[in-house]
Amino acid sequence: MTTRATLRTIVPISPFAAALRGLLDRTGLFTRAEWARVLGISTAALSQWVNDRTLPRAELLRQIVDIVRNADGVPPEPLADFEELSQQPADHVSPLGQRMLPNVSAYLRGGRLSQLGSELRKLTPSEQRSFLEDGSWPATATITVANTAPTAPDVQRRQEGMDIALLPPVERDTAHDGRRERLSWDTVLGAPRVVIQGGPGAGKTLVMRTLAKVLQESEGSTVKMVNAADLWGETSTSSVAEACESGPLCLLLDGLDEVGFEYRHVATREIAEAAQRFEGVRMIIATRPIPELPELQGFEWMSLAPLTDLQMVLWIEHMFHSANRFRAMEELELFLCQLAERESLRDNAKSPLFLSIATKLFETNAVTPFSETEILGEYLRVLLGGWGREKKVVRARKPWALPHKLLADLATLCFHLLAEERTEFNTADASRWLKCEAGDDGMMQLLPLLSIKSGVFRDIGEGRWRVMRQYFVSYLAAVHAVGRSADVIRRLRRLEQHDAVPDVFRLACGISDDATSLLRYMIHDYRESEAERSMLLFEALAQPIVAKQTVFEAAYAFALRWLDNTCARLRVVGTDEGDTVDRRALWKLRASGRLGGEDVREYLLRALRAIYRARSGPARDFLAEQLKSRCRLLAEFSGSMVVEGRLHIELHPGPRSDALSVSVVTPQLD
Amino acid sequence: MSQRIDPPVSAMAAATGCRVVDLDFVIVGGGILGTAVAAVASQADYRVLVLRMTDRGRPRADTLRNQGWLQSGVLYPMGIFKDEAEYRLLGTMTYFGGREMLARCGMEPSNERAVVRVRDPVRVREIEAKAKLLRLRSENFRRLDSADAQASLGALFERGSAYFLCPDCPFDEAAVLTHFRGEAVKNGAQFLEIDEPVKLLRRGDHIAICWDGITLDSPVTLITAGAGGLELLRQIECAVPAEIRQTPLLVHPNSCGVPVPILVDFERQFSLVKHPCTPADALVIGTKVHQQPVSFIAPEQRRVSKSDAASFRRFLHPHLEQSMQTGRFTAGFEVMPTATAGVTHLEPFVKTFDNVVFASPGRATLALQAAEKAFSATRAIVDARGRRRFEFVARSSRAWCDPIDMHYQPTYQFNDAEV
Repeated sequence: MTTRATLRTIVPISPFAAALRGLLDRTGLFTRAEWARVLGISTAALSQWVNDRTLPRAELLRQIVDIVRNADGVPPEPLADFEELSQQPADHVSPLGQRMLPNVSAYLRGGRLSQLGSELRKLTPSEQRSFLEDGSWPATATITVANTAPTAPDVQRRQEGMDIALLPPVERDTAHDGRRERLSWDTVLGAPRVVIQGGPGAGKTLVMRTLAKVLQESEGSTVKMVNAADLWGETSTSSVAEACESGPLCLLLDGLDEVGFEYRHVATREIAEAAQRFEGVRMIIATRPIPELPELQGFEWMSLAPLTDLQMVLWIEHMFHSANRFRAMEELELFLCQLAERESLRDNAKSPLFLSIATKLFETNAVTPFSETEILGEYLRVLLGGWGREKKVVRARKPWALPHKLLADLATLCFHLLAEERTEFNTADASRWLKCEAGDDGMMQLLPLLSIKSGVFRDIGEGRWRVMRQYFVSYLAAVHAVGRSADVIRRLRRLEQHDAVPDVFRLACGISDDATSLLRYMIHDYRESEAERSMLLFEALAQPIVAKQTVFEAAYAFALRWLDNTCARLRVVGTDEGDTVDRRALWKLRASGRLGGEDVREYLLRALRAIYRARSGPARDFLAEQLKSRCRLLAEFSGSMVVEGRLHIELHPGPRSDALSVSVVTPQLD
Repeated sequence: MSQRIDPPVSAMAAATGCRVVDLDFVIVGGGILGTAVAAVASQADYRVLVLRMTDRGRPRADTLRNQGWLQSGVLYPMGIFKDEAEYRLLGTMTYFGGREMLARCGMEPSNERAVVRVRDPVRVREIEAKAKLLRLRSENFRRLDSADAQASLGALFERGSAYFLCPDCPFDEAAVLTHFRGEAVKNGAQFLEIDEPVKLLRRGDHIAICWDGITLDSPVTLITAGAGGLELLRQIECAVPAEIRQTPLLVHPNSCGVPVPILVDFERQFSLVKHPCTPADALVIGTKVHQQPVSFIAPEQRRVSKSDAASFRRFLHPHLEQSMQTGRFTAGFEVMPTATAGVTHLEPFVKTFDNVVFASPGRATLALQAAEKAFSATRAIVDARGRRRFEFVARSSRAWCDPIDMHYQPTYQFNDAEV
């Protein structure tokens, strides 16, 4: 059997860290703890290196390479990978690469005793200690981003632009096969007519400010950036033609979607005319997807892609450094750890706005990714209301467009989409589901407004709309279900057949002021197998939840009974307490009799993961206590829950069909 | 004579032409570890004074009384390790740590290889197993065929034995020490060469360091005096779980025609290392003789007894017996942590007692790693005190600037053999 159920992590690592990980972990020479002893440092220091938190001193890195290079019988790939990478520009292979410039190979030629003084004197006393005791360059002094980007608050950063390496990736639609081609920002800067599309919070304004700054530096005062809403609207006093006449070589027009619906056709027509008339003026337009875009002839269409995993880490690091430089590393580790463990959240957190909101909530309210529903709620509140106010954009000056009303409408819409198992709908469907105060005319305005503000669905023409962000549909459906507590069970029953019900149920528990009835329903009434119900309960309970204590305990008791019964069929035939920080415990198991195939394995994995995730919350002590009195595997597993840090659970079949093993490991960041 | 003078001392010292040393801590012992700590600490802007015994006449530093051998670990007896994993780890650590230490000093490890003789089939299997554990590549470890071995060893070749080529090679510890001293001095470390061992006394929360009628009140003291360090700890009523082992070495002023840089004979239980010297290469020979714990004796008073010398001879190859006539003995001492220390004698050993830190490098090849650990432990005390520097007026003591030589160099003619 070759299946290997592993939680992937969001947190990427740089090519350098991946290559270093290869030297340490894939050569079969030593465990991490042994490497640490050979090098005279801590295992924690090694973990920092291979996660791009710090950089190894040249002499220690050289020693690792020397050992691997001179070892017999090691696979050649890790060293070959490292050597290939060592010739590349260091700042391309590591976020801390400035320290190793021009390349890793040159870095390895350093590290002489005679250079120690000049290295040490640049560091603070605590950084010196880290340097000498952990063999690491502190990240705070070396991260390129931290050195080059402004360390001011987020707002100022948005105004001034970012390091271009932190901009979301840009892609070009290839018309023939629907695939997207990843482009460099240089390509965008060199194109004469470009439309950059991106959903809400994708980073369009940030991109425009950054491009303006880059162009300004290369082309001087001939760059002009204008908000589109200032050119078209009741109070506009200028026009795109006037903006071009003032003689810029490049005009950046931000927020075409922020132009009122009634002015958009005029706007696109005038832009197209100006593009023809002022041939020498380069134009870059940023907008959310709007139906009028095809009217812009002669423009190349590009889209902002989600941030890469590495960019996510850099973004978060950057925000933490800005906020509190001294506590940043510790806080960052906790934040990334929890984000990595919540797949649903991390896969949807790849936009600058989402990351910014999540990070701010953490900084100001200690809301961690453990509280997934808090972050989602805040994100949608910002999208539907706060952000428009911050950017001074008025899209619909109507009483029905109040943010809480928009949220309620959006939630209702999403609930019905799930209930009818649909991903597309038309205006008539929406009218049926929503009781729009503004009548049919209002509906014609409401849907475009919800679409443009939330990005949850988009106009696909002919009065039809398609869901774009399924994860938010689940959350919003849960908001609707919980909206009237008396109806919550009845509403959830309507979703029972839908694949998304586990997500909706879990999110509803997180949203609800009192999840007691939800838990009872899941224990007693939910028409699924005991295993499936147990899974739902484990996952729901692995988040902050408010419910009567007796029901909370009954929910755990129900789920644990299933787990205990399943684990009772498993005998622990070996343990490996582990000798590195990354491998906390491992149990080799043998099933007595038939275990039950892949489903049981999958359930077991899900249950253990959910239990493990619960260690971040107040249920940890209760749960750990419960597990102690169960079978040996669970009792021992409870011990691993005291471990803080970024840990994941792996479960993989053993060499025999009745064998499997469970380990708790740090995520593989590659 | 000079003594510690309470502030203000600078003006007084200037008036009398004395040198004022502004200090963060004092290092007692200027062997490879003390000097390495001085190099590291001074580069981190810590002001240190190193007190070290003079090497005039005979080297006092244990470093300079070694065989000068970068060991791959393949020759370490397995019995001293907890298990195979620890053996593999420490063998790798000492060998590659040594290579890295040389690299940090801008030196290249020698490409020469040692030859090992084994006859007992059990030992043959054992050494092959150890090479496998250490993952030695064939260019670094291989069995020599009989003809090659004979060609390599000449008169030292013995039929019926297995010979192996090992990556062990000679290295010049004095050159490393010279490099450390150079870096330390360049960055402001002070070295005082003294003629007699210091004595330590507890005086309140300070340690009074006394020599030549001088007393230096040191708030923070690092002891890196090798085997002498155990005696110094005893003077201030501290102890570390360690013993001293005598390691007599025989220095022969020419190579006796030995063609290989290192020969280790597992059957006869001797080893020899050939070092380039002028006018002729020197051999430094060690045997298994007298490896029992001993009490500390100052280097100049150490003697290799006649019985030990006779035993020593019994381990030698007949071809080398003549070296007993023309050679001279060095009675080197080695610090051996006991089982309760939690480290082997190969590894750095650092222990803190309030305002005193004791450190031993283990293998000399790990001196830099040990120095960084020792400095970390010492600076923790210094920093905890608020990093208040203290002054010391160095009067009539001399700076250490003599050339540094290993004991086998012709600079030295001493003989520790009992007459």
